[in-house]
Amino acid sequence: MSRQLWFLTSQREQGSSRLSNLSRLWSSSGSRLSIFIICFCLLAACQPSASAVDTRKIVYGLTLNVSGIDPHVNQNSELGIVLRQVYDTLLYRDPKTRQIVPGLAKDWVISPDGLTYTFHLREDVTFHDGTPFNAEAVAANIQRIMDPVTASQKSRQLLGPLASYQIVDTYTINLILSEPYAPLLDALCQIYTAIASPKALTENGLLRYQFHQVGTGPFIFVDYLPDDHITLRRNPAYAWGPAFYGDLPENAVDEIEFRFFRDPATRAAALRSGEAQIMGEILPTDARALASDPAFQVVPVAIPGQPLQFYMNLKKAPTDNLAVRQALLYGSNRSGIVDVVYQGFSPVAWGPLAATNSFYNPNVNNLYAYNEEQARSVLALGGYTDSDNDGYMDKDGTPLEVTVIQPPWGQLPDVTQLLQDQWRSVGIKANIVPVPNFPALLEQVKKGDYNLIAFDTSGLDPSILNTRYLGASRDNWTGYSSGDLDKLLVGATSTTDEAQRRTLYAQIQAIIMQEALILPIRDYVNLNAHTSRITGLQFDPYGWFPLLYGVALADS
Amino acid sequence: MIPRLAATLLTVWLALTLTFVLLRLVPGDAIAAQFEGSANPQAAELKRAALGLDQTPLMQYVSYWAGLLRGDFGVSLASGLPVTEILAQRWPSTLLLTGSSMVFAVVLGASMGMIAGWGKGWTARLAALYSALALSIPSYWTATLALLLLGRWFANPAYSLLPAAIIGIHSGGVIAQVFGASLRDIRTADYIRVAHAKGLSQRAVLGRHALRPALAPVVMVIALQTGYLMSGTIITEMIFQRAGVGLLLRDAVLGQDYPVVQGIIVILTVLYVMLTFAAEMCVWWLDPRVRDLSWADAAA
Repeated sequence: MSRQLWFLTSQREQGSSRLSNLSRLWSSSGSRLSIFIICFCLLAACQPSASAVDTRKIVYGLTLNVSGIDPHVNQNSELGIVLRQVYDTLLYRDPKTRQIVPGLAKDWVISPDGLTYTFHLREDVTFHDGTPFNAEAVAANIQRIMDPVTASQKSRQLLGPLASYQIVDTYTINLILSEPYAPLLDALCQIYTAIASPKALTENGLLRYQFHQVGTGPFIFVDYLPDDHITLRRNPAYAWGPAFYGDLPENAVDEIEFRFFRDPATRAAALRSGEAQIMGEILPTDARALASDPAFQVVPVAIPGQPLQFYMNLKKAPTDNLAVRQALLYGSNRSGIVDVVYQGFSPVAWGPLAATNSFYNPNVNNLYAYNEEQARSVLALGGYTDSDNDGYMDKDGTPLEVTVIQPPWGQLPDVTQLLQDQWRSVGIKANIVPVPNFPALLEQVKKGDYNLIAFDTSGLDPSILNTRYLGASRDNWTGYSSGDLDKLLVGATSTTDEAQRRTLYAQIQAIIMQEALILPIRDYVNLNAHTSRITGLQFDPYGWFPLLYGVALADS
Repeated sequence: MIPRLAATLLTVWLALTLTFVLLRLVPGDAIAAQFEGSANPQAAELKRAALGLDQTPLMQYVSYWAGLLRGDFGVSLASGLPVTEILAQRWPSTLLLTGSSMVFAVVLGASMGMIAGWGKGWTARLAALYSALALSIPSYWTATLALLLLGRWFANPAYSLLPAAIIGIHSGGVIAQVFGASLRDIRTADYIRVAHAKGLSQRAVLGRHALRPALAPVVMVIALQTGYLMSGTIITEMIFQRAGVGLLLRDAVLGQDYPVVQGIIVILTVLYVMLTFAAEMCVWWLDPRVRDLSWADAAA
C-alpha cells in the first residue's frame, strides 16, 4: 500500500525528465494555469488579517445584514449602531437622565402656539469633508428627508406635521409645523434625522450616498462593503460633542471595524477567539456563560419601546371575545418564559410600553398575572366548557382554537412553544403558523387570518403607540377601534405639556390592558457583551445604539 | 452541435422563466415591508411605480428580457442599486472560496479516491471511511466545530483557510467516492488484467491504462461540485461571515428582491451550463471509448 502513497507524492518531487503518463496527464491539461490559480487562491486565502492587538482598533459585531444604511432613507435599527458615531443630531438625549440636551443646536425656543421651533446652532462645527455646518446644511437635510423622491421609511414620519423651515441667519433656523406635535424634539434626537454634509449628499446622489457618508460626528466613515464590513476612523477635529461625552479617555480606540455575525451561535465564539471585542445580541444562554467569566462583561440594555408582545385580533373569533383574550393572558406563565428562554435577562412585560419607558404606567404591573384557575373561570363565565372531554374547551360545538403567527426573531419560536403548552392546560388549543421573515408576517396581517401576532417597535416617545392603536391606522393590528382611545391618543401627541401627556398615556395604557388587546411577554433587552479590555461603552437611551466616543481598549 | 446548443439555450430560458414565475408566486410584498409603520403610503406607491412593479406580470417579464438581452439586470428592490454592481461586490469572495475549496477537494479527493480504489487493506478502508464520513456529516456541523476549536488561531476566519478547508473536506469526499468506485470497476476490467499479464508494473498499469478512463466521471463530479459551491455555500458563508453570493441569494429570496435573485440565477445557470460543457469536452478527450462512441454515432 505504501507504494501507491509514495507514487502519488514522489511524482511531483521528481524532475520533468522522469515524467510518467500520470504526470504528463496532469501537466498537459493546462496545468500551468491551474497551478497559477491554485497558488493565487492559497495566497489570497492566507493573507494575514489585521491584528486587533497592535493598534487601537476594535471589531464590533453586528448581527444582521441590512438592505441599506442611509439614515434618511432606511428604517432598520441596525444602521444606528454604526451611524450614531458618524453623525451628530441637532439634539441629544442624555444617556443617564434621558433628558433632551443640546447637540448641534445650542438651544431652542418653542413658540407659544407650539408651531414654530427656533434652533440656535453651534458655530464651531465642520463636516468630515471640511465644509462648514450651518443653517443651510440643516435645511438641506430637512429638504432631503421631506422630498418624496427620497422615499423615506422612517425619518419623514418622525418629523410629523413639519410644514416648512425658515433660515433666520447663518446659525439660526426655524422649523414650522402645521399643527402642534410634541414628539418633534424627540425626533431630532434620533439618528434618522442625522445632519449630513450637503456637499456629500449632492455629490453621491440618493442611491450611493450610503457608501460615502459624511457627518460631523466623532468618527469618520471610511468604507462599507455590504454584508462584510463598515470601517470608521476617529475624527481628530471633533470638539463639539454633547456635554455628556466628557473628555477623551487614554487608550481611546481610533478605528472601529463593524463586521456581520449573522449566525447567533458564532457570536460568543467570536468574542472568545478575540475576533471581535464588542458583540451585539448574544444568545441568552451564551450571555449566562460569559457573565461568569472575568475576561468578559455582559451589558444588557433595556429597550424602552414596546415590549415583545402579541397583538390579539379582535376581528377574528375567538379573540373577538374579551373573556378569551383575558384567559390567554391569565394562562400565560410569563415569568417561566423569561427564566427558561431569556435566562432571566429580561423583566416580564405587563403593558404596551416597556417598564423603562418614562411614560410607563406602573398600574399595569401584575395585571393578568399567571393564574390557571382564573383563566378557567374567565372562560367558564364566557360560556366555554369542555363538552366533548377532549381536553380543550368549546362553545356551541366550536372548539377553542387560536392561530398564532410566529416570526423567527427574538427567540419567539421557543416562546410560542411554551405558550402552546401552557394554554393547553387551561383548555385553549394554539395553532402555530411560522413565518420566515417580515414581508411574510405582513402578508399574514393583510390576510387577517390570525388571532395573535408577535411584533414590537422601539422608541422613547410614547407616540409609537399611535400608529398601533388609532382605530383608523393602517398599522392597527388588533382591529380595536374606539372614539375614546382615539381621542386620548390624538390629544397626547398634540400637547407639549409633559405632565398632561403623562396622564393621557397612562389612561391609554390602562385601556389597552383593560380591553386585553395585547399579550405582553418581556421587555426587550439588547444583550451585548465585550472583552474586559474594553471600557467606556455606553448606550443611548433608545437602547440599540452605542455611543463609542469614549470607548477605550486597554493593552492586553 | 446545433441541437446541443439549442438544448443549452432552452435550459437557460427555462431556468430564468421558472425563477421569474416562482418568485412572484411567493406571498409577500418587499416594498410594503420597507414602509411598514412609516405612515408614508405614497412613498411606497411611488417606489413601486419607479421600479415598474405596478405593471402586469407579463409586461414585467417582457421588460425583464428586454433588459437582460441588453445586459441590464435591473435594480435591487431593497437598495435601488444596479444588480450588476451588487453582484460585482460579491463574486470575488465566492470565486475565491470556491476556487480554494476546490483545490482542497481535488487534492484530498484524488488521493483518497486513489487509495480507496486502487489500494488494499486498512489504508484503503480508512480512505473509504473518510469519504463516507465527509458525505454524511453536514458541513455546518464541521464548520461550527472548527470555529469553536480552531477559531482562536485564526484571528479573522473570514480570510483564513478554514472555510475553504471545511468545504474542501466535504467536496473531497464526493470526489473520493466517485474516483474510488470508478477505479475499483476498472481494476477488474479485462484490459487491465491483460496489462498485468504483460508484466507491467502496478505504476505503469495505473498510469498508462487505468487512470484516464477512471478520471472521466471524476471530471464530471468536479464540474458539478464547482457549480454547486458557487451557490451552495450559504451556511458556510453565514458561519464564517463571508459576504458571498450564497448569502446574498438567501437574503434576496427571503426579502423578495426579485431582480437580485434573477441576476444571480442568470449567472449561475450560465456558469453551470459552461462547466458541464467543459467537463464533457474533458471526458471526450480523456476517454478514447467515449470518442469512439461518438464517432460511431456520427457514422450511424
